[in-house]
Amino acid sequence: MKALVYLVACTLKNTILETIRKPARLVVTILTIAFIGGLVVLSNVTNKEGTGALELYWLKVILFAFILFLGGISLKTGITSGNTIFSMSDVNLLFVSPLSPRRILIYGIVSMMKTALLSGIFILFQSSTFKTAFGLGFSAVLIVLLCYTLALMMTQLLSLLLYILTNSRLNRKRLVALVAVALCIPLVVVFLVNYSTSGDYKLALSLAAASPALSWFPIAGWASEFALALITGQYGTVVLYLAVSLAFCVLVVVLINLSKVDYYEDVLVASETAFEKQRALKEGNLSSVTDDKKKVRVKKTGITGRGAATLFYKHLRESFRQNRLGLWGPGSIIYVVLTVVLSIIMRNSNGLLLVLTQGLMWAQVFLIGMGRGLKELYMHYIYLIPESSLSKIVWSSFETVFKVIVEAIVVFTIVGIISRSPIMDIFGAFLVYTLFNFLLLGINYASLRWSGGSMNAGLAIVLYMVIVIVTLLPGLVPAIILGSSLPTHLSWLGYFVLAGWELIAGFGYFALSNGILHKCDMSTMQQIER
Amino acid sequence: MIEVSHLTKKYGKLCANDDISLTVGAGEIGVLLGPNGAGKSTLIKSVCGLLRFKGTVTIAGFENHSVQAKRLLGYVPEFPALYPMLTVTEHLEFIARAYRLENWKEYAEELLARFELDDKRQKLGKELSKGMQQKVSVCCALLPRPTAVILDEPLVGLDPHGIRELKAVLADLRAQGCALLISTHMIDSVEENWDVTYIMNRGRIARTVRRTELDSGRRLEDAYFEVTEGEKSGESEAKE
Repeated sequence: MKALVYLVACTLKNTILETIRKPARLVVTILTIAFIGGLVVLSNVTNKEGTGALELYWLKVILFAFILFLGGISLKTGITSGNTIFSMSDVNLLFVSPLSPRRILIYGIVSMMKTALLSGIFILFQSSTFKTAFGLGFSAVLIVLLCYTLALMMTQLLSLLLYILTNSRLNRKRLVALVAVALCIPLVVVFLVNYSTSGDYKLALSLAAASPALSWFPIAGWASEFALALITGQYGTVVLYLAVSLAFCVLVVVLINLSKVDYYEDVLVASETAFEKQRALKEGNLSSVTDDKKKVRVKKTGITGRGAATLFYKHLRESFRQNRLGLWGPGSIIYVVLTVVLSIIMRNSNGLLLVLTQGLMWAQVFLIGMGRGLKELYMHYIYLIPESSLSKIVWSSFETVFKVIVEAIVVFTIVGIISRSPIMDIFGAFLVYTLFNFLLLGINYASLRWSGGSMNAGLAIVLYMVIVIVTLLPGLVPAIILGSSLPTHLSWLGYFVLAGWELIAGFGYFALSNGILHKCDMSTMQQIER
Repeated sequence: MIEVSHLTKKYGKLCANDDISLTVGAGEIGVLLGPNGAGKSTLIKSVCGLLRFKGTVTIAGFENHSVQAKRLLGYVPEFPALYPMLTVTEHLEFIARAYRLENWKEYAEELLARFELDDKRQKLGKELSKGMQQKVSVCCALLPRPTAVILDEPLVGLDPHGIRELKAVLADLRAQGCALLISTHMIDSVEENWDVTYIMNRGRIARTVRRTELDSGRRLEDAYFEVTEGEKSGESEAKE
C-alpha cells in the first residue's frame, strides 16, 4: 500500500510543480481559482436564496437527464470497447508488480474520483444560472458537483463491471441493453399516465419527478434525489440515497473481484485501446482515432475537383460515406430535435426566436471544432498541397459552412413556425446564425495563425471566448439599440445589422489568417518531440 | 536540391534544432542519423514546412513554403496518417487532383502493384493495418513524381517485402536524379545506399560523413558511435 500512496502523492506533487513551471497553465489555474473564488464571495454577498424562475423539480429532472446521459455513454462503452479507470502506465507498472489486485483497484477508483472532480469544474461556473433559474446559492452548486462526482464514480465502476461480464459474450450484451431499456419503462409509463389524465406536460413531468420510478432509478435517480434532498435539507433522505449509492459501489467492486479472480486481462484491453487512441491522435492518425467500428459498404467512389477545391469534394465524399444523410450526421439530428423540443416548451415565451438564436450561437462556439475543415489541420496533406494557403483553408471550410446552412434552414423554419415570428425576423436570425459560423471559422484560423498553434489549450479557450465576445460587441450593441427602439415590424433590422457586422468581421479574420499554413506548427506536433 | 541553412527550431526554451545547415544534391541520398531525441523528426518536419523555424530551407532553389517547392516535394511521415473514410484509390486520386497531375493513373497502378496494394484498392484507410497505411503513405508521396523526397523512419512498420521494395524505389529515385533525405536511427537500413550522412546529437549536426571520405574497411556505424559515444566519454572526462 505504501507504494500506491507514494504514487498518488508523487503524481500530485509533480502536477503542482508542472503547473508552477508552465506560465500559461499557471495563469489559467490562477484565473480559474480566482473566478470560482469570486463567485463564492459574490454568492455570499449578493445571492440571498430566494425564488427562481423555475420550480425545484426541474433541477431534479435536469440532473436526472444529465446523469442518465452520462450513464448511457458509460453503458455503451462498457458493453463495446470497455471503459478503464487505469492508465497504460498503471497497466505496465502496477499490474506486473507484487501488489494486491484489490489495492490496485482501490487506487484506480481514487484516481478516477480525482478525474471526476476535475471534469466537473464546469458546474462551478453555473452559480448565476442556479440563482436565476432556481433561486439557489453557491452551496447548491457544490452539492451538484458532489452529486456529479458520486454519479460518475458509480457509472465508471458499472461500466468496468459490465465490460468484464459481457466481454465477447453477445447474449449478455443484448441482455444488458434490454435491462437498460426495461429500467426506463416505469418512468415512461408514469409520465404518460399523468399526461393522459391531466393533459399538462409540466404537471406530468413534476409528478413523474416526484414518483418512486424516478427516485429509485439506478444511479441517475439515487444521485439526483440525494442532491435535491441535501439542497432542501431533508437529511434522512440524504442518508438513505447516499447509503444506497455507496452500497451499490461496494457491491460493484465486490462483483468485479468475485466475477473474475483476475480482472487484469479485461482492463488491459480497454486501457490499451484508450492509450492507442490517444497516441494516434497525437500522431495525427485519424484512422485509429475514429470510434466508428461499423462496417462501411463502399458503393460510390472517386473524388472530383482540382487543386484546393479537391479538399471540399473529399470532405463531401467522407461525410456521405460516414452516414447516409451526408452533411446530416446524428449530431445534426439531435441538434435539430433538441431545438424543436425547446421551442415547443418555450412557445409561449416572449422573444423565443431571439433566445434560441442566442443559444444556438453559443452552441456553435463549442461545436465548431467538430467540422472537417479544422480537423484537416491535424494531417500533413493540407500543408503540402501546392496551392495558396488562403485558398486551401477556404475550400477546407466549405463543408462546415454548408452543413451549418442546411441545419439552419431546417431549424429556423421550424422555430419560425412554432414562434409565429415574421418572415423577415426568421431570415434575419438565419443570417445571424450562419454568418456567426463564418466569423467563428475566421477567428479560429486567425488565432491559429497568430499564436502559431503552440498556445496552452486552456489559455487558448479563455482567449478565444474573450475574442468572440469582443468581436461581436461592435455589431451587437447597435443591433440591440436598433432592435429595441424600432417598432416591432422593423425589429428585423437589428438582426441584419448584426449579420452584416459578422460578415465584415469574418472577412477581416480570414484576411488576417492569410499564410496560416506557413506560420503555425502543424497542430499534431504541439508536444515536444525531438 | 535540398538546402538547409542555419535552421533553428525552439519549443519555448528548448532548442530542438540548433543552427543546422545541410545540403542534399540531385541524385544523392542524404541520411539523418542520430539517437532518440536528437532532433531528426523536428528537422524533417521543418524542412517540409510543417513547423515554424528560423533560417532558410530551399527545394531546387525555391523557398520551402512556396507553391513551386511544394510541387517538387514528397514527404513520407514517421507515422502514416490516412483519411479513415477514403479508400486506397481515393487517397491517390485526392493527391492527383490536389496536385493537378495529368496522366497519373498508370503510375498509380504501378505503385500499388509494387507495394502489393492492388487487392486493397477499395479498402478504407481505417481498415488498413499500420504497415499497409505506411505503404499507402509512400505511394501518396511518390505519385506527384517529386524531385526531392523526405522520409521520416520510412521502414518502420513495413513487412520484408515492403522494405525490399522501398529500398529499390529509393535506389531508382536516386538513379533518376532525385534528392532524398532519410531520417532514421536504424543504421543497418541505410548502410548499403547512402551518399552523405549527417550524424545528429542534441539538436546539432555533430558530424558530416561522405561515403567517398569514409576510410575503406570502416563502416557508418563506427563513425556514428565515434560521435555519439565519443561525446559522452568526453563529457564524463571533463566532469572528472
